[in-house]
Amino acid sequence: MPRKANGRAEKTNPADDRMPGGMPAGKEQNGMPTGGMSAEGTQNSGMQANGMPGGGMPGAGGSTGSRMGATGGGTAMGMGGDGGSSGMGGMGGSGGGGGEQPTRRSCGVMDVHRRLLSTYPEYAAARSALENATSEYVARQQRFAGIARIPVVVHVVWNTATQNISQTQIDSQLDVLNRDFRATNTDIGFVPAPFTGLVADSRIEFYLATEDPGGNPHPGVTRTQTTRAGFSHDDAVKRTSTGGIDAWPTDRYLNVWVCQLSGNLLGYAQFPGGPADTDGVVILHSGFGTTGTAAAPFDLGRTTTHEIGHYLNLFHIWGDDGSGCSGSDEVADTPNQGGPNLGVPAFPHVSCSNGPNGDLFVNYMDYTDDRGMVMFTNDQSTRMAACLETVRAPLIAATVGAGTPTPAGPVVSWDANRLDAFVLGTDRAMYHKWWNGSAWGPSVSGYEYMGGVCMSAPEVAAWGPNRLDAFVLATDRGLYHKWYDGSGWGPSVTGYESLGGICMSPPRITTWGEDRLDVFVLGTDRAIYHKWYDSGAWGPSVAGYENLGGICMSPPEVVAWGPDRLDVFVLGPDNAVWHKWYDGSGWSGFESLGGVCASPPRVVAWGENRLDLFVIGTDSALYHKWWDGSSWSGYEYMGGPCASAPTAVSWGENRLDVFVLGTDSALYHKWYDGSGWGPSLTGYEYMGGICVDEPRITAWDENRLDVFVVSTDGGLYHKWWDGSAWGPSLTGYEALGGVISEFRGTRPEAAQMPSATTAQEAVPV
Amino acid sequence: MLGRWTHSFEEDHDGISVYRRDDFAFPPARGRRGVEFRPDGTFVEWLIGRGDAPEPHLGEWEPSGVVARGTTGSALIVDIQPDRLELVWQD
Ligand SMILES: [Zn+2]
Repeated sequence: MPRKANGRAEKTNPADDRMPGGMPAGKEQNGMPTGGMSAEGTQNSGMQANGMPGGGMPGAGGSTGSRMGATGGGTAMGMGGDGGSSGMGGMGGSGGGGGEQPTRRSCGVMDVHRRLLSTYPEYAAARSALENATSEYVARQQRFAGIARIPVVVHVVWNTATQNISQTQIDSQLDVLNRDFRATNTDIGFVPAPFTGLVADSRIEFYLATEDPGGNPHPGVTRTQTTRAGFSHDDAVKRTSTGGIDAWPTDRYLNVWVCQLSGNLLGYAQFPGGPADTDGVVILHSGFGTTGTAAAPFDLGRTTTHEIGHYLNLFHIWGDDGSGCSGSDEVADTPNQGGPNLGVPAFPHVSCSNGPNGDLFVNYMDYTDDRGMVMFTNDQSTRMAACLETVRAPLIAATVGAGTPTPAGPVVSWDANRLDAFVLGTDRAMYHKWWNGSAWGPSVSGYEYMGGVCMSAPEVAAWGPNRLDAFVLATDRGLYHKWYDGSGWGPSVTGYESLGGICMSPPRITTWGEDRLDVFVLGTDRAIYHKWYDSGAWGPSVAGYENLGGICMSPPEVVAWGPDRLDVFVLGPDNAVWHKWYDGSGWSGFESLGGVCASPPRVVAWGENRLDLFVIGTDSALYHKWWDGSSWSGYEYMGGPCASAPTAVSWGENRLDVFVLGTDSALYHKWYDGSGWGPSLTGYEYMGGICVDEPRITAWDENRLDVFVVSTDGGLYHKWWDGSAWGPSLTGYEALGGVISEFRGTRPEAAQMPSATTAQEAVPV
Repeated sequence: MLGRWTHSFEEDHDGISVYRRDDFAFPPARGRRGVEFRPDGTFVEWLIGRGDAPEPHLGEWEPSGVVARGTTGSALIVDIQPDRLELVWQD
């Protein structure tokens, strides 16, 4: 154990809690960030975001956004269970230091952290945003399906021949990683009995890259001779110009540099959110793998396991506060621990009153010898998954989710009694079926194959009769498009038009009239990017995007209530709803609509200058807020609990229909008819089903609703409202492919969908 | 005394923390802290960073050379030799 000497909890230095102010000017360019990704080249710019605050959103403190911060806590009604935690700070909040746990900061000034703050201003905002996204992700209790496989490039940088480690030594390290991250390591029995319930299979695997950045076959190992006798933690090894070797694109590869490290350093890592060109881990060659130059007691490959833990956003298990008890690793299921454990302690090792079982010193994120660390915990695993599904999503885009049954997709209607439904198949290709007024095509349970390997559910718009435009993300996270013009599909039934971009959210589409489409995505910097189709051409260019700024934690929700009008809604890192709009002449700044939301906002417009916004609060209840043409209401409490984001649709003025999934996975419905909410303000109509995805609704006429859900068998199911009754029945569904699974035939216990408690803000509608 | 010293924690004794120069044959360890005395009176504690790289935390040392104040406390210099430094840390 390290002495207390030199290892006490440091005092917080408030100056280091400051986040940088506005977004760096460089980010206000258009074209997707990290450009150069698509063949078409995304450098095309178009309308600059000039004049528009690129920032304005969270993390961008004092932006010029027109109404930035003007509202903040003021208008927002509490959405969490207790009023005190509501109100939600203005957006500056996340940048102003409110976003970080004080305990996390007690580790004091950190060199790398501070260096990044001064030389890479995005870092603070990115870290803060990531911490929020992680909390949100953990709360959702969902994980990527299947196995996430991370492509690795190992850069061997050697001065003496001994340091030019063998392929066998490299392979031995990959083997260790694939055992350690899957909890199949043979020494896992070293975990003391009281801790065995914490052992997690992170479902993350690693493989040496098979292609270089240019797409050419490559063994995934580079070898570079250097004149430098050793490297320190100054990242010189990561640059060709300083005796090392440049990284491969860090959004697509985990870069591992293996070299001689001086200063008693076994390895070091860069956390997510830092500069791209130095992203990755550095390992001392004699701490790498299990053979060759690997030397005891660090010859079991655990240094690399530990550093990749950092790379996937895990902190040290003792909380990085020296030997104090105030630091936290932001992981719920690890015991509070004083300082690092060195060597291999005997069980139990008690610190910070964590008896009787004491420190979880067998964890990979402690500091023991290699043979002493053998496990990740469940919550560490979730935290790594959050990292992989947010900031590091492109890393696993090519592998995660492959083969999982995720049919899901929207339904549109371009005419009365016409429906077009799009889903993804288990092969991740797009499939289509349609209702022509009398029958389903190509058959009741059949689908038309439309090609593609899609990473997002199809988003489809119809600007008029006989017109469909479908958008998906492909494995490169670029945006792709196909269209139906009444006579056939372009560019072909199974082909797609590439529209550039590297998108961190599914596309969201709206149309305000014929020959007009507006497409919104999040870029890798989590800003909103926009492109539009107007009378035959894409703006700002086929592959280019307009940067609308922001740091967004939800896909953009977009509504057009009239020609030349767009309203965009996102969650900021503070989990409040933020709004910006286009009025025909230019874009507004970001306006905070407050709230602490547990779902993306959903917005519908029943007419000109009317918007109705629905979100789920942290108490899992539904909340409603509306724009009446002159001002926004507060948040209206509408009961719950809800297990999905709401879906809202309107078939006409003064009419709203809202659907959510309950905690029993059944569908629930409520409606507004101009005079009040049915069945009550906080009550819901039970509609049966066991749904695995949000419902998709369309209304092709007044008093008409078509509802589509996906059930546990992966099949698509349909029900409809014809103006007088639900078909095939209130709780029944029509199967549209797949094998019908059991649908729950009985109402759930009342407790499962309690009609509400107290309204938090009783605003009459 | 000037320059950088690395914690040779294996040699700690009686509440005294022992430091060595960087050319000392330290056994491999996952993390070693250190201290540094700079000519301008700056006292640097090298702590273990979040991503394992050492990180400097700035304090100051008194011209008397007896006490150095860092961010984690004060260090009393109890013995100094060309290749060995002994400190007693206090809150
Ligand atoms: Zn570490």
